[in-house]
Amino acid sequence: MSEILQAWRKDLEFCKRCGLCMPICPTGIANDWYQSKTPRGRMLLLYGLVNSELKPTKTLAERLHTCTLCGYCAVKCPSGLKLDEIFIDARRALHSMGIKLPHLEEVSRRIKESGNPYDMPAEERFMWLDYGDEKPVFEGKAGLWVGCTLSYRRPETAANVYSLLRKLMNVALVKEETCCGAPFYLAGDLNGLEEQLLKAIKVVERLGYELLITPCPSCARAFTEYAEKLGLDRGFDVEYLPVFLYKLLNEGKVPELSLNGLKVAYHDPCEAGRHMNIFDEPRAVIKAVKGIELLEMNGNRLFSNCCGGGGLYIALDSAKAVAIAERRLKDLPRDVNALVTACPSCEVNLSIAVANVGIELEVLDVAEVWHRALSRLKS
Amino acid sequence: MAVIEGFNIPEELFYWLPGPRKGHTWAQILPDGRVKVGLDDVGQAMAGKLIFFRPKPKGTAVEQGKPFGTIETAKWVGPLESPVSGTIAEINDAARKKPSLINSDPYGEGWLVIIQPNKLEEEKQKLLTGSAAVEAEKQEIEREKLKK
Repeated sequence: MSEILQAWRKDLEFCKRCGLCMPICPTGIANDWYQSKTPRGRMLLLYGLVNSELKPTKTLAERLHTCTLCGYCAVKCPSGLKLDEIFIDARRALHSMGIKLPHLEEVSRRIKESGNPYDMPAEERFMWLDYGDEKPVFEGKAGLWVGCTLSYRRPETAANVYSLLRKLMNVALVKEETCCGAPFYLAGDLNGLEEQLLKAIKVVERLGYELLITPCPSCARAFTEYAEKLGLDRGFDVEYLPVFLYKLLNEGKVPELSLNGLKVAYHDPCEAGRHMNIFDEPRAVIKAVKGIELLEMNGNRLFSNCCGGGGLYIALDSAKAVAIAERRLKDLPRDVNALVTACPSCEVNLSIAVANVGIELEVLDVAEVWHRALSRLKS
Repeated sequence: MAVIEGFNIPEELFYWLPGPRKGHTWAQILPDGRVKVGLDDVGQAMAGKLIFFRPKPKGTAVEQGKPFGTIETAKWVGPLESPVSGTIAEINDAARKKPSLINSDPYGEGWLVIIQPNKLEEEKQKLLTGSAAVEAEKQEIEREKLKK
C-alpha cells in the first residue's frame, strides 16, 4: 500500500465515523448523501484501502474525486482531522498507483497541449483584452498573472481587473502566461504539477518580474504553497489580488471611492477562505467603497458553503457541481444586486447557477467593485 | 436544405470548416454587403447545452479563423471562429441573454453577430458552400458519431 496513505493510518483509524461531516458536505448533499460520496464514506474507503481490504479501483478513485476539496468537513470534524489534506493525499496515492480517470486525463492533455485546462488556443490567451479599453503592456517590474479561468471564461472580468490595476499602478501582463499547474495538484499528479509550475515560474523569472499579482487563489497557492511543498525556488514575490488591494488601501494609495445603491453579499471562496485564511481583506476592500452595503451570506467565513466549482469536480460531474452552486444562491440575503467573490472558478460556477435559476444578479470579482467605482470617479 | 442524420445544413450558406472539430460557423451575405454569422447545427450539437455566449464588443476587428467570442457549457469553453475578416457591426443580444437559442434555432433566432467584412471576395474562396459544405459536415458527423 502506498506510503502516502500509510502516513495517514492513525487518522483513518481515529475517525469515529460520527458523520458530523455529512450534512454540510456539498457533494454529499448533491448526491443525496450517498455514503461513499460524503467525507465519512471516503474515510471508510481509505480505511479499507490502507488495510488492504479494498483494492484501488477506478470506482474508488471516482468516489475520492467526488469532492470539491472545500475543506468544510475538516472544520466540522470534532476529532480535528485534516480531512481535506487526507483527501488530496489520497488522490496522490491513487495517481501514483496508476489509477487513471478519464476526466483527469482530459484536463491533463489540455494543459500539456494548450497551456490551459479548457482546450482554448494558447495564442488566444489575451483575447480578453478585446473586452476592455486598456492597451497591453508587457514590460515592468510588477506582473499581472490573470490565470486561465479569468482569461478564457470571464474575459470582461479579466479586462476590468487589468484596467483597475493600470489605474492604480504600473502593472504589466506576463506575455508567455500559461497554466500554473494547480489542476495537476487537484488531480493528485505531483509530477505534472512540478513540471507545469516550474514552467510558469521560469516564464515570470525570465521576463524579469519582481512581483506577481494574481486574482486567482489557485494560482496564488500554486506559486507559494505548492512551490514550497515541492522545494521550488522562485525569484519574485506573489500577491493574491484582494490582499494586495487591501495593502494599497492601508498605504493610502487608493483615492476615495463611492458607489451608491449597490447592495452586495460576499461569497468566501474555499481556496481563499478555509485554505488561505483570507476572510477580512476582501470584505475590507468592498467596505472601502462608500455607499456600498455589504451583507453576509447564510454560511460565511470558515462556515461558508462551497459553490461546487473546486476540486475539479465540475470536470467529473458538471450537473451536480452546478446544482451545488444553485443551492449556494439560496444562502443569499434578500434584495442584493450583486454577489461578490474573489475566485474565478466561483465566479464561473455561480454565474452558471444564476443563469440557470434565472434571477437578476450580477456576479462580480472584488476588484470589479473598485473598478466600477474608479471608472465612475474618472468619468 | 440538406439534412444529414437529422442535422440541418442549409446549402445556400457559406461555412467555415477548416478541419476536424474546428470552425462550424456559418456566414450569410446580406443584401447590404454585411455578413451575418452563426454556429451551425453540427457545431451547436458538438458543443452541447450552451450557457454563455460572450461576443467581443461591437466595433472589434476580427480576422478570418480567429475568435469573435466564445461559447461555454458548464465545463467547456470554445472559440467562435470568424468566417470572415472585418469589424463586428452588430451582436445578437437575444442569443447573448438566452444562449439556448443557439442550440434550438442556430440559423434563425440563434444567429450570433453581423460583421462588416473587409476582404470578403478573397476570403469567400476559403469558405465551403453547397454540396462541398454538405460533404464536409457529413464527414464530421460520421467521424464524431453524432446523432440527433
